[in-house]
Amino acid sequence: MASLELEGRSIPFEEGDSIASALYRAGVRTFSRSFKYHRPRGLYCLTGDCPNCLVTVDGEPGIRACVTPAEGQRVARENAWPSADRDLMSAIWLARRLLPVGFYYKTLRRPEAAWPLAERFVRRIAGIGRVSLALSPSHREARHHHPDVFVAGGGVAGLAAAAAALNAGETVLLADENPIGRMLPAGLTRARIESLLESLRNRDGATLLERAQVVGIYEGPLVPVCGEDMLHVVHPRRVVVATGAVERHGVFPGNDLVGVWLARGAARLAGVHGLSPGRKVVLAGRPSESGDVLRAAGVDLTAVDEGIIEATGRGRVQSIILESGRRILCDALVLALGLVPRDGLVRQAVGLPVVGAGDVVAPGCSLDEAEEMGRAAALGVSSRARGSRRAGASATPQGGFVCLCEDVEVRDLEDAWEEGFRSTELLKRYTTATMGPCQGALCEPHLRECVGRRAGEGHVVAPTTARPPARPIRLEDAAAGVHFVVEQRTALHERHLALGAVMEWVGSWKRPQTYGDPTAEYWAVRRGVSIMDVSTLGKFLIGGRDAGEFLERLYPCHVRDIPAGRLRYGLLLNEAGFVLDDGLICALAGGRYYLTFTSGGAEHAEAWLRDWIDSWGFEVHVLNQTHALGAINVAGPRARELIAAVSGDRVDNEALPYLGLSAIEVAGVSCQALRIGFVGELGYELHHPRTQSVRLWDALLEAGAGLGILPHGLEALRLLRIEKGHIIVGQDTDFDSTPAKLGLGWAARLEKTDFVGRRALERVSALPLTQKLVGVRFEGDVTPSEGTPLTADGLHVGHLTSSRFSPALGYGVALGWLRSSGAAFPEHVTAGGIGGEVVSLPFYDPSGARLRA
Amino acid sequence: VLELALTEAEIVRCFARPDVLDGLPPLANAYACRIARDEVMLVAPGDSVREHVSTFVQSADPAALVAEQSDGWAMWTLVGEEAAGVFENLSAIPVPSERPGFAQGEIGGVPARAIVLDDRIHLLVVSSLAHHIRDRVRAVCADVVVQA
Repeated sequence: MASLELEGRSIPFEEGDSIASALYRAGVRTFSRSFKYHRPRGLYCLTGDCPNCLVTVDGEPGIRACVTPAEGQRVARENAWPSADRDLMSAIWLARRLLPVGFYYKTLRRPEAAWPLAERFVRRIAGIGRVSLALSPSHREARHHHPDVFVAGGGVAGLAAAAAALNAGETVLLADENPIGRMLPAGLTRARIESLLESLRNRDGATLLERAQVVGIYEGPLVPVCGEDMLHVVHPRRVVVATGAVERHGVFPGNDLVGVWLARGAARLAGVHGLSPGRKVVLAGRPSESGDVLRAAGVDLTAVDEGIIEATGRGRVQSIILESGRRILCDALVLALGLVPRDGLVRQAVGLPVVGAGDVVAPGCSLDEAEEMGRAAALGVSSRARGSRRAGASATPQGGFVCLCEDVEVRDLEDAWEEGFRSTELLKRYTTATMGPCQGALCEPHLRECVGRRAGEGHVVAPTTARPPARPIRLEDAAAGVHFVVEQRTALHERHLALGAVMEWVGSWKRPQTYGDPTAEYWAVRRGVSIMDVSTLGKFLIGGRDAGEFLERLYPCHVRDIPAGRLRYGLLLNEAGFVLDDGLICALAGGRYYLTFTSGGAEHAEAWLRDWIDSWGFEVHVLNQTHALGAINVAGPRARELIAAVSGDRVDNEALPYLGLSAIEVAGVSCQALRIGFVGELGYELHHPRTQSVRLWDALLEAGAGLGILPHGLEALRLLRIEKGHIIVGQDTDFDSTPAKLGLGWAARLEKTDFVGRRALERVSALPLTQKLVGVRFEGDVTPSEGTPLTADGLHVGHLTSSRFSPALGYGVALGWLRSSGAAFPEHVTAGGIGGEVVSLPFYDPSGARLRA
Repeated sequence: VLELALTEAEIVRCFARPDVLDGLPPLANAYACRIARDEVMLVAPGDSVREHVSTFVQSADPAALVAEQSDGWAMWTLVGEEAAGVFENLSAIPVPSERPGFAQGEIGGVPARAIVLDDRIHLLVVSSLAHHIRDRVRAVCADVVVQA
């Protein structure tokens, strides 16, 4: 026989067993220890509505054993030491007078040091299990559904609603947290459900999700449903909530003893699993189908129809005392006190096209009535609520637990009321009743009854606010669908891999970090020629009647004076004058412009452009060409030689000067060549149709073989650009970096009438500069790493943002933020014990002669 | 059987005054997708339409921008009875009811566009994410036959 493991003990289980029924069959009666007092708790509802059977399954805490199928898991009971059967921490119950309601607001507050110590202790002994840090969350998929009607609950009303919607030609998705019908004992209800279910099977337009929990109902409506292996995101037009009702929780002293059952739970134990809730069982309350099931299963029942004063026993029920004073010896007490609607989903959905059906609106309705309500609900007709949410209300209970999840007793509610917490919401927050795993399924009616009794006649009591999740869910369900990696690839991705590139993430792009030897790649740029795939740059074509005026107002530099065929470095600023991004502004013929932005900044830049176009009402067109164009940077003193080898077009200084652009053909590929030099050497960025990237790349590598060409990756690039003092936005900039702080004040022309950020820059221009990005030179072979704090005269004055050892210069080069100490900026700093000198930028080729070669 | 295949198509993006785009005559061999008030994206699986459209649009709006963007987009075509169901599973966007229908938004977790026909759905995504859409379709429908 198959078995599961409970705390090292093998527990056999039968087909159809839940973890709870398997454990119960093996003689387990204490399933958990309570949240606060460590009182023993046994099976109670068997419908997933109470906290009593929460266990740790395969290392995952808080699993409801009663609705989880037995499948050979490792099970452990929670919140007990040394064991749930004999828990020494249950001694807390003896000291309960010291733990009044809201005790953590009142006690252990003085001296102040007491609370942190006490809090650690409280956290250790309270709770419902521990999350294992050794477990890795699984990555769950999310799948969307678009039915006409979503039905929550596969009971009689829910199935009737689904059938009616299908008959009306609509599509339906129905979800139930259990196998539909199979968790119910044989009887009229189960028979009706099976009949309705049969009529739905294999019908077009019907999707049935079993063992799927509805998380909540959001605006849209949007209904997330946790399935067994994925999250279903449902976008229905209408929702029918037919989640039924839960048996009313009885409140009296001893109501949490092991052996006290809700009637449906006891019936399910006997009728589905063939187990008896006890040898001598008392059934208290109203006649119900559950009683019939218990009798049919051969359970020895004593029915009583008067109120219960108390259940007594040590750890488990041994007798009950009735209102008449009569004591009945028993080992199980089954409560059939009426039904309370399980209407949390309906209460979440105020103002949405959501209707309830069946027990949710009319607890205790007949099967025919439930079916009728379901059919009406499918058509959007809400049945009139009937039956009282206060059904079974009685005089103030003499004691007992109102909230089993949070160990809130009757006296706690009464004390809280006396302390001034005089509404359901205040009582809820102060006592934490309804805030446990069951989300008030059992205790919420009692909370309202307490307020109703204490506030007096005429006081209308509102239910507490219902919020998702309606049932406990895993965090990995909440994060379903967001784990898959969106990886953008350039057209040269396969070429890079074939060349042995080590790839790294840059935003959502994958780019080569190195092809194996970054130093050799570096020297190829400095001494010969190299190429780099820069297709990831943001690339935009700007046109329209107002293109020039728009860019003039957007950029801090002059734009309209850029002649066609020339380009200019441009910063993108926000209204505060802080740098958002940088790139090139290329003037084209016909009043159009071609803009580039950083690899990770293209999407944000596009949104920024469009926002301002809308704000200013300009007639400007923005064509994002990032994905349509590839770009290859050809750099190095022999770059011109290489291009000449594969192009008939001139790229000399006369035809294509520094900061110029020109349409040329390279290896038969039409390119827009941009003459720039991020790496500080003669360079051409060849922007071309993406589908031609491979052809161009291969041709350049082939033609450059005799020139010692090597492609270079990001690692070489980082060193090359530091030597030139070129920033990388996001790495060398902070959220409040102005052009002046970056040493790029020349790029923001305050003489312009207006541009985004101008007013802010004008204001701060009158203030002394207290922080700036500087170049730092470190002698010796060891260069402090990026992020290293900078000190001067023992004071912290900044940190490094970029640093590398420069083979060409023979010393360490770095960029870093430096604060002024008093009136001046330090000229000498220390980083990680290494002395450095603050120097002007760039480190390499200060005259720019190599760029203009 | 669900099939997923890359389909060749000419993609032309037209930016012009809204009134000009409103008057764009229907093209027999292209789908005109209204992306925004000032943008229409033309998807032409057959003959080129760029010149024809460019002439029409720029004669009405000299400042209009008409650009062929075929390199920037990958068009995956889903064919099979399950196509609509797979599309539904991939996106919070409902399948458009009209035919041909057009939808744009998040599909498979990335920005994409869809042209829905009676017997197939074209999914358009930027070229750098072409593999991503293929992988998401596979995640939803393991049996899909991919022809790349």
